[in-house]
Amino acid sequence: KQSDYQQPVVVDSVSQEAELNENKVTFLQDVTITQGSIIIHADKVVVLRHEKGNDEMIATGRPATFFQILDNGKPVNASASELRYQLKDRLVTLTGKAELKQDDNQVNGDVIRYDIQKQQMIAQSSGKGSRVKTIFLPQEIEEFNKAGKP
Amino acid sequence: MINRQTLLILLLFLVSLLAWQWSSQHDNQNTLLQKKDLSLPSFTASKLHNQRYSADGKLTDIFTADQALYYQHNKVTDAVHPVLQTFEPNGQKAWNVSANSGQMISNDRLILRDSVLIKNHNPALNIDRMQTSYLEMDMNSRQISSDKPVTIDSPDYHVQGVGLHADLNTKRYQILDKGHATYFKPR
Repeated sequence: KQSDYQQPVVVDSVSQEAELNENKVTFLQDVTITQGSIIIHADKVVVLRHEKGNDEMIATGRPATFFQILDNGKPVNASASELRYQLKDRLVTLTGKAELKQDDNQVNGDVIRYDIQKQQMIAQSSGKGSRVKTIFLPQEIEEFNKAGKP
Repeated sequence: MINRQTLLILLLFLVSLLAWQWSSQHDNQNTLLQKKDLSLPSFTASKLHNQRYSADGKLTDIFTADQALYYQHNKVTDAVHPVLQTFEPNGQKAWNVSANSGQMISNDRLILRDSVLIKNHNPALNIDRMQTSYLEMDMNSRQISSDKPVTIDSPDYHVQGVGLHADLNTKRYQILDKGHATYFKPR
């Protein structure tokens, strides 16, 4: 939801290590990040604070998961070995067995770039024989056709 | 009839009994006195101000206390409102570590209790202060540790947890358990 981005980001974990000189904090063991309706679960999360304010959260897990409720009330679920959340740009990059489900549609690939704001997604395969797979459900196809007719 | 010899032996026995009693009483008093000595500080100081320098003459830290009681036998200084101000090699203030009470042991180990506050004076670091109720510090390596609940604050985040390890020189800290961090409004 739009209101998510005005919310504080809360990170819970068993332990955390901060390297103040590098503006880097590492959260370890059973990490949960929440920001409004956004929920990320991971084994480890590294928070990097950048000069220009585009802080990054790199979550790794088996897999790391991402959940958010959109303005239309529908959920988005994503998972991957690594999930990179750029807070200011509102970009989530899923790497390694990446999967994204929205409205029962599902996309799988090696890398999925998901622009939360624009609701746009770019899926890539690593080219080594694996391919991007997208599953559209009938209802979606109908709407697709309707939109196509003059 | 008690003959003279038995009388003499009896007398000798009585005298040695009295002497033994007197000396053991005397020992008790001595040990009492010694105990009393140890519990008394070797010296007390008010407004203690102690500066330490590195081998190349740079000021490394200043230790002050409203009151300090020094015990020679175990080299412990009990301090009221102890404050340790540390300095970077370039002379800039680094950290200010204070508490309601504390102990300095052999001039390089510090134990602090009750409202322990570690304030950062280095503007380049994104941290304001760390707070806990108990802290141990190695004043040479500037490593600190606590097994108590701790909170850490900065302009844009608040952290709480249980247990802390920190190295004030390398500017790293670790929260050991129940870490809970809140980044206020992401920039």
